[in-house]
Amino acid sequence: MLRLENVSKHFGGIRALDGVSLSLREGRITGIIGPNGAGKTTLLRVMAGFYKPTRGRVYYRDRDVTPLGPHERARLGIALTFQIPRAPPEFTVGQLVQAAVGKAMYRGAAMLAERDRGEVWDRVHRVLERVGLSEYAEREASQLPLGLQKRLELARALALEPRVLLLDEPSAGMSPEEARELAGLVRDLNEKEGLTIAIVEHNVPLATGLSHYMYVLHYGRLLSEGEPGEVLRDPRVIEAYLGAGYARG
Amino acid sequence: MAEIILQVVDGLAIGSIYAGIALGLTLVYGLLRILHIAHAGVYVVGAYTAYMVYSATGSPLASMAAAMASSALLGFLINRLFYKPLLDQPRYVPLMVSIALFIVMEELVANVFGHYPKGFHVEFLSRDISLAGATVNTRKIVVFVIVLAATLLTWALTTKTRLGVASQAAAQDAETAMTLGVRIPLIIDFNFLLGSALAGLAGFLYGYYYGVISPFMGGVVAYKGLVVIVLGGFGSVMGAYLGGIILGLVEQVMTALYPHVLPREAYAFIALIALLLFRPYGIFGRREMA
Repeated sequence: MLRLENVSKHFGGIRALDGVSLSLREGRITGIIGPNGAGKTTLLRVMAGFYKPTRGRVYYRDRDVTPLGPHERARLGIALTFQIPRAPPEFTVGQLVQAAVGKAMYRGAAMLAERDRGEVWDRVHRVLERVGLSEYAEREASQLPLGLQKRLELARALALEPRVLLLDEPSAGMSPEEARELAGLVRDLNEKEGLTIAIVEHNVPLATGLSHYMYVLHYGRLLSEGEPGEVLRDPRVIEAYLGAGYARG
Repeated sequence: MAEIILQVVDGLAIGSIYAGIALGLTLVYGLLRILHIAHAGVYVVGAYTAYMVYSATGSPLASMAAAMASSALLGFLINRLFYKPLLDQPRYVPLMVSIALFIVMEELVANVFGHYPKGFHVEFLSRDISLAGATVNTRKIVVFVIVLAATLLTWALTTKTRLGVASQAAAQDAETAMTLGVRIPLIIDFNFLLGSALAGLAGFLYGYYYGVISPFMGGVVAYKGLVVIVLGGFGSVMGAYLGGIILGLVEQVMTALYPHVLPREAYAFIALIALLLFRPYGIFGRREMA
């Protein structure tokens, strides 16, 4: 569905990604884990078009989307949620989701049309209901507690009716209970709506519990890949996370 | 009473011209966080375009349209040629470029049209009427009405349309806007075209109101435009309008009441300081936009 071929991303002398090739399989949840500074967020931002790779190509449904910017990829159906929620301060929860409904609305003369009402708001409410935010529709988005802002990130992404959902540390800052609820929601989106999902997580049990397939990054390189259980038993992964002593067992 | 009405009408007309200039500045600042000093040069070019077209055609409407079109094009080009390549640089870099561009534009206009003011007498809806005992020229009311209409149109475009949603989202968080499918460069182009057209309109109205234009008429408004958007709150359309009106009224009324105490500009800045003491982010401003 979404494929990276030999992607490198350098920031000055820092190699955030170095020759990474991987693919997100259609209708599956792909987990991406790795210690701090492994390049996980950079990888998602390359997928979403926020960073152009220094080398390598990005393909979406076999189309080379490397030159496309984030707004073009969003229109194609690739939606990203941010690690730190980014609710613009003057938007209510409903308005922010409304702004994301309808991928084609920010084009040409359609932009001069009146702000959407009616059927668009029905869709806004359906999305808010989907993530459990219906009762917050009129609240100022930036004033919500962190856990709810994380859900709003998801709602904003879902409003685009994506085919690929890129989740950057969705459980960061959440209580264990909130994280469990979020995991249930992500699994639902995959199983009931067939969304292809990539999830970058520090919470390894959550990522392994959700993912069908996993990639492990370390210092910008692909260290390991496979089924979650297989990856967790890989001595190279154990060493990267816990040190050489644990790997030797 | 008649004297007060006269001063208020003058203040509203002058404030409307300030507002016209500040609307463009606030649209640009809201998106790029650049203090677009060159906007004052765009305003001067608009005024001289209006002068040329009026001299050639005698049509006030053609003159106003030409001022808006030439300024829109100039603002668009300034963004594409000078700001866009510098967006990744610290904000003082485009600010320096902006100041330099303003000076270049002033000097170019002075070299082409001469360093001295030119009479620009537009015959359009100009007659004296009696308003509550005061004799008021209708051109002052025309200036007020045109800028009010332009402000309402700009406000509607930036709040009531999908473009407005995109523009607001882009102004507050460009990356989030991109994830919504918003093409940021298009929004920036639009804001420059609209804001610069409003500067051209203000240039025309300056000539229409005062009957004279000068290559250096942008100098004062360059900093008064900044005062207005600070008063109104950075990035706010209605704030820019109200800020302009307040500045015009304070200057006019205080200068009339206390002509020998302080110069006109000093009253403007006293009003600014007084307001900022109570509302540090302006009338409609928010901390995030400053």
